[in-house]
Amino acid sequence: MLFNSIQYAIFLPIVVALFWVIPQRFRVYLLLAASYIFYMSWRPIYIFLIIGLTVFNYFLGLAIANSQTRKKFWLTISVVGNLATLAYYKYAFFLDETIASAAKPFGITFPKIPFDIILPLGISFFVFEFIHYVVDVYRGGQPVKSFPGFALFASFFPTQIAGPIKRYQDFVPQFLAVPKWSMSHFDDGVALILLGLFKKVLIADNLTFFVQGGFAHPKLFTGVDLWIFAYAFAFQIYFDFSGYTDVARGSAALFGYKVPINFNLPYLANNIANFWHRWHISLSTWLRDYLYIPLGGSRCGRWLNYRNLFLTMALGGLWHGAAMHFLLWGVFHGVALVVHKEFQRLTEGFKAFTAVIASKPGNILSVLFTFHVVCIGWVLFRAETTEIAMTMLNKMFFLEAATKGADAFKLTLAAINYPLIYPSIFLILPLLALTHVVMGYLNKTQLVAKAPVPLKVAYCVVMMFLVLAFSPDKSPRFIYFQF
Amino acid sequence: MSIHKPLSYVLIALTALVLLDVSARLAWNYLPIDHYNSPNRSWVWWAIKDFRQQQQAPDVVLLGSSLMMNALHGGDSTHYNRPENAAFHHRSYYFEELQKQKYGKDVRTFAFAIGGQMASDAYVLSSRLLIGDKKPKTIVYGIAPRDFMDNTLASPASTETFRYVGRIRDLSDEEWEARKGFWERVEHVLSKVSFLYQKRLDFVYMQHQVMKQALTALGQKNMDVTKAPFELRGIAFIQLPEDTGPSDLCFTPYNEKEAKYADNLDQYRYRYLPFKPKIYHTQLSYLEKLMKFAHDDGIEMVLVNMPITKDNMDIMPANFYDIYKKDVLALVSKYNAKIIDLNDQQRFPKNYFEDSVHLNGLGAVNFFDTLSEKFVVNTQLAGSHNAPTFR
Repeated sequence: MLFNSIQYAIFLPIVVALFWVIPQRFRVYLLLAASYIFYMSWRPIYIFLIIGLTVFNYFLGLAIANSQTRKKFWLTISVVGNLATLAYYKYAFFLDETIASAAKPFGITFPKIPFDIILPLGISFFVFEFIHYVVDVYRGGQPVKSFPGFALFASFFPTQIAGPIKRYQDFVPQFLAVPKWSMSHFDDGVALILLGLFKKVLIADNLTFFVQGGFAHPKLFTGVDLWIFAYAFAFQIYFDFSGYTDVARGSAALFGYKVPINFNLPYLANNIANFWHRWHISLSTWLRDYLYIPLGGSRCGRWLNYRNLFLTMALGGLWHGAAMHFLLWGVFHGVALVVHKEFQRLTEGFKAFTAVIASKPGNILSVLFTFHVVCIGWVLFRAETTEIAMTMLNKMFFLEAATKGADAFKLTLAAINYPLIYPSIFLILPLLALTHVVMGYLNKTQLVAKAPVPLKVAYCVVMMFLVLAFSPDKSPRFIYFQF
Repeated sequence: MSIHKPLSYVLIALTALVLLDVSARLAWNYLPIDHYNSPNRSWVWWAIKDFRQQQQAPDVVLLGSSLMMNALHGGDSTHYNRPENAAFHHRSYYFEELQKQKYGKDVRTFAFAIGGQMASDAYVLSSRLLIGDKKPKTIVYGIAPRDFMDNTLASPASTETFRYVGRIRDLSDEEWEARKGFWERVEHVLSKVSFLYQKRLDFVYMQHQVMKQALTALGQKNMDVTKAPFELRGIAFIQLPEDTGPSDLCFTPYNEKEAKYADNLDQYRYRYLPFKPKIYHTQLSYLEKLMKFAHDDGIEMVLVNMPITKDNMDIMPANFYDIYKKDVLALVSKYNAKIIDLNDQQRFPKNYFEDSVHLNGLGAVNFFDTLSEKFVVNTQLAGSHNAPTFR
């Protein structure tokens, strides 16, 4: 059941209405049932997986909390169990193929997995939530006593498939407390849902086709063209995923629950570390707390710190998908973070230089530079194979100028007029870039929160009309559903 | 807004949207909107655009899928040795010429031969467009088993023809029945409840026009002529609504040296297998509706069983072709129609085809020669002919 489907448009209001009319003691059960129905709408059989993992982690959480001597043992069982489940569903084929291709030069034929494994939706997200739970209980956190509350923490339908990755300390108390009806829940929730659908249906979906052309046939285009495709994908994935998050947060708000934000205008980041404080925040903080810090974080020597950064990002890349290009994307960001940290260390003593960087023009240049670094990463992320990614990057760095001369710098995209998104991209991309600047200003000045009611009404009418009138018959899936 | 301020801006907005929806419903017919406009120029859009411009009703309307489309364009192109632009070419000049030779009088044709056309499409096109002063004397409908059994079809309502005719004509009698799935019907109800949702393609068209004007102002030239690499067209073909530029498909005269035969059997296996009786019987019921419509309106109905290769027949589900023939014959008999069977491997050997079902230019000329030979223009003998057989 996609957020941008008619099924969800019917499902959500029914659950919300029931939630507020039934007695309070049944609300958790209602949401739990709704979440399981939501999950089963895709492949009913996988309900056993999410329930099985819930039971497994619930009892291990209690075991960790109650044990005096075997906390570590129970934690290990839990983390290994969760990771093994994720590895089986997500990485079995990848590992099998990697081992088989590594063994081939030695004349060893490694057997192929003789059956299909279909990746359960949202597994990467709820497995990370479970690991966070058991680790935090191990670190001294209070375990969740209420089984329905715990089950709902992992399965809560607005965040079930693609996050944000929640923290049980923030979330479970919200379930167990008695939320009170407030019109602001309703208004804020609907406004967020409308914004999310607008981002998804009107922006991301329209960019999908454009992006696909460039990434499927990079050989048709020049380096200049491919930079435009990379920019377009940067905005497509941002509006797609942040749109998803807005719908998730808005849906949760209709029940009076708060879900953490996941994005904070990431393309305004002025360095790569800052980017990761703004992009997929719930994942980057998870990686920080449950991978980077356990590895030693920054409280170790310089080189060990760099290793930790590199490993965290490489594994974070692999979390996105079992494919070499995702691993490369993670490695690229790991290297970028290391380079950034080393750059900071080297320039620390040069006050004049750091002053220039901190100045307004310096900041603008830093933002532009960071955006381009991120776009290079997106090429690795979006390309379906490493070969395509390398073809694109070769062209984007104008390496083919050696053979093609000035032709390598031509803008050939401008000659294409079909589909309409191709010529339109030259109008759309600057507008999308501008949205970041405008939103940055609005956030800074708090103008959205202070907007008068007529303006809010007008905003909602326009959004409702746009979503209704421009909803496509078939909308592509949210990109992060596949992870 | 807190609980102390029960005024909800979302509820006010929702009320405003309902008012907007109702106002649009009331004002729509008075707005300067050409309801035939479409954001995508599909084959049916081109055909109806041309049909609207016809000053008189055609004598013979040709209906059929890409099998008829190939015969129509390939026939004229090869016979007259000229390219035929599929977007604008909606008459079979060769068939008209043959009929004139045979009867000594002018016969005017119009072709609604549209790739992928199902029996349901043929019915909605005929029953909604071939009426009043545009009523033809005869409908020649080229049929083949695929027109009744295509697993790529979600429901009769999911074709471009059904959607487009539904936008320009009232299909309310058909729309519920043509939607088979639960969610498809829910979506249909939503489009009935919300006028803005129902008219969303008109809004998309307006959006495209605004964008085209802006781009033209910025220097883009001739936005209507498609300029895109073949590879991008391929992606668009699969993922976007059917959209064809005015110079996208030209049929050229048959040239033996360049003639190629493409194996498209895999595609047809997917269309035929597994056999789904529900799809077949639904489409057959639309053929019956079409024949009843023609019968009741006094339009002569001639079914032409289109030639296909033996290779294609061999991949059909067991007994399917016999069942198809038997069912079609029963309807022909019931509605006093005619049937001309051109599926004859002797008359249409494999070198007349460019793949397992589509005739090449040579086959297309032979198709109209044979059809013309067996075809009798509007004989008005509907009540007198014998029980039909596949000849």
